[in-house]
Amino acid sequence: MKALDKANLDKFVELLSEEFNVYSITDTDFSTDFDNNKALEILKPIKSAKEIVFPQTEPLFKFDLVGKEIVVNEKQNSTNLMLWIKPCDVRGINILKKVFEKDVKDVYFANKLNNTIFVGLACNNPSRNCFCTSVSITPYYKEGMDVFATSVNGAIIFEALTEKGKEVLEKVNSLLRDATKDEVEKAKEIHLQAENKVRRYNFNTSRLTWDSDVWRISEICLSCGICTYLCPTCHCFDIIDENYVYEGERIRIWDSCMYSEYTLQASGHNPRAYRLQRLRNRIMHKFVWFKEMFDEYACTGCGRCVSYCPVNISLIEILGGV
Amino acid sequence: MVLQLNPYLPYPAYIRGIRDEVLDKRPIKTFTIELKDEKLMKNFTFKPGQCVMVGIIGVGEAIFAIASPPNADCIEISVMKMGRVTTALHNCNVGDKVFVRGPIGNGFPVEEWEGKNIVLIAGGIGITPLRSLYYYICDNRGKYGELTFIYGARSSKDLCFKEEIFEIERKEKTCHITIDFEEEGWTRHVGFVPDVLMKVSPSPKNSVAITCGPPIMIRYVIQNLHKLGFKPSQIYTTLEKRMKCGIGKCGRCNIGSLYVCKDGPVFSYETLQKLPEVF
Ligand SMILES: Cc1cc2nc3c(=O)[nH]c(=O)nc-3n(C[C@H](O)[C@H](O)[C@H](O)COP(=O)(O)OP(=O)(O)OC[C@H]3O[C@@H](n4cnc5c(N)ncnc54)[C@H](O)[C@@H]3O)c2cc1C
Ligand code: SF4
Ligand code: SF4
Ligand code: FES
Repeated sequence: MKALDKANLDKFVELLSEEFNVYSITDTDFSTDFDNNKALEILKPIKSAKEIVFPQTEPLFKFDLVGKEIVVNEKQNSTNLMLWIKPCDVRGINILKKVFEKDVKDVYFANKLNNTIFVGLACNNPSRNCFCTSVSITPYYKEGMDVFATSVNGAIIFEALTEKGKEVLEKVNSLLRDATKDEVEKAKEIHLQAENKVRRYNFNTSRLTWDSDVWRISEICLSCGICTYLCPTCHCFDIIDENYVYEGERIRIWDSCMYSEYTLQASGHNPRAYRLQRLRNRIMHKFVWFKEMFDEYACTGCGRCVSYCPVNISLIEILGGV
Repeated sequence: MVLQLNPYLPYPAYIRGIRDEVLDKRPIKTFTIELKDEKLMKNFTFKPGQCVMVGIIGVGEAIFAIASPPNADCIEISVMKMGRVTTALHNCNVGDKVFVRGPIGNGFPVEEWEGKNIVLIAGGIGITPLRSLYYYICDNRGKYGELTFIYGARSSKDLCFKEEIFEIERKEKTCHITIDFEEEGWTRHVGFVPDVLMKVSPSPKNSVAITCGPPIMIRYVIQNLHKLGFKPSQIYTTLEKRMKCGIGKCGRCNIGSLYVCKDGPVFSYETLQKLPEVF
């Protein structure tokens, strides 16, 4: 395993930036404009990392409004590198991958994923609302990462997990040294400490039945959609034509199953007109139906929906964790 | 080819013909659409019951059941004027450009039904997928048993494919056409489709019943099919949900873990009865 002394952090980011669009963590989101030292310390931004592979607004193609023709311009994306992305956000992307690559492959998602390198960082300090261990991952879960890093005292130690990951470490090789045996041991210790810090719940998904009383909590839901926009696994979108003067674009744009218009049919009929129906659909999709389809929960335990719901609707409570 | 790689990219097409079906405050027109690329048009294969997304640049896309049979040299859809896209389509002229994605959905399990008697029960514009199915069965008559066709609309003016329906009536032993209320000069059935179904009372023996129409009609038709002895596995219907992507990604058309756009729109009642909030 390789190690980087934190004193070389600025140089490290600089080297990576020569080759990749480097995104890292700010308080609010993943951005190319981040503070090298802070990015290493912030646990997770308010917004999840899903935007990198599934942007909030994404053009599908352009069109010429006069000639009514589609204009496809296949532009080559440069490679993005997600620096210090956390295990739960990578898991979110793994879950999206299942949806977008099942049966019919979503080429926009697949291309972006293909063009992104994940240099993930283990969480040393999980927060109050983290519950990743209750949905079967850990603060040192690595699946989907190209490089896995752990911050150990004055250094960061790296493990390359894929070919792409090896190439990344090759690029910054001049700044790296071999990790000491102590550092490697210490990293393992940190992983276990963090795992123990995460609050663990015995969720009871069998209470998530159609007629359950738990859905009554929707009485206070604002249908604001914040939970869905911040959630790393929510993938609902709308497709609309946006027109400028002579040209336009067909775009896809995040939508939310918490909105009543989402399922409104042209006839006026709406199968999920009520908040109860919508909240029930969102939670049952994540914990019952997704489980039926893919044998796992569509939840990373990131706790964003719990932390940022303006009326404190808590997923943890819905799942029977107290 | 790029088109096949990107499921969101539609095929360029144009409108070859337009026919008025119903003139009402919710008018219905049938559009004959042809893909620009002849080879693509030839290779555009589908099953009765499958759908297409038809779009107009700058307006958007909407999904329609394919009304034409699989062996036709074009794609026919019947469109009721409802909102943005359907209104834009109604304003189109012959020769206008449209864009097509598809085929979408599962279609009717026509192979499974071979050797069986077929009962088709349609209401209003719900006849479109059953028209495709009817012509498919006509082309493969030897493979199927007896055919019963029941079609109803609010009034004689609301019948889609009127001439064709009367032609089917002449050709088939058991074709029943009904309108909701008495009209001067109308000599066929009067009454709702579910009631006419009881009058006709097709035998469930070695049969499948396929029904398509407004949700309320479907509900009563299914009830009555039960009374006639049809088992849930012998009853098929198509569902409608608001749709965008048509390929199980955008999330909005789900019923539990099923997506109507990709796992449907055709479902057996055996599947539907286990699901919550079907309509
Ligand atoms: C599987 C399936 C098969 C189908 N098959 C057929 C078929 O064979 N034939 C058929 O006719 N239909 C069919 N439909 C229904 C058809 O897809 C809808 O009628 C169509 O999507 C309506 O699209 P629209 O853009 O015209 O309506 P939209 O514009 O999407 O209308 C949505 C809502 O917005 C409102 N609205 C529309 N425009 C405006 C505006 N400018 N300002 C404010 N509000 C507005 C409408 O009143 C409506 O309530 C099918 C649907 C499904 C799911
Ligand atoms: S905790 Fe909430 S926001 Fe995070 S993945 Fe689970 S459902 Fe989504
Ligand atoms: S964030 Fe809270 S209030 Fe807003 S839609 Fe989600 S559950 Fe409802
Ligand atoms: S229409 Fe998008 S999932 Fe069915």
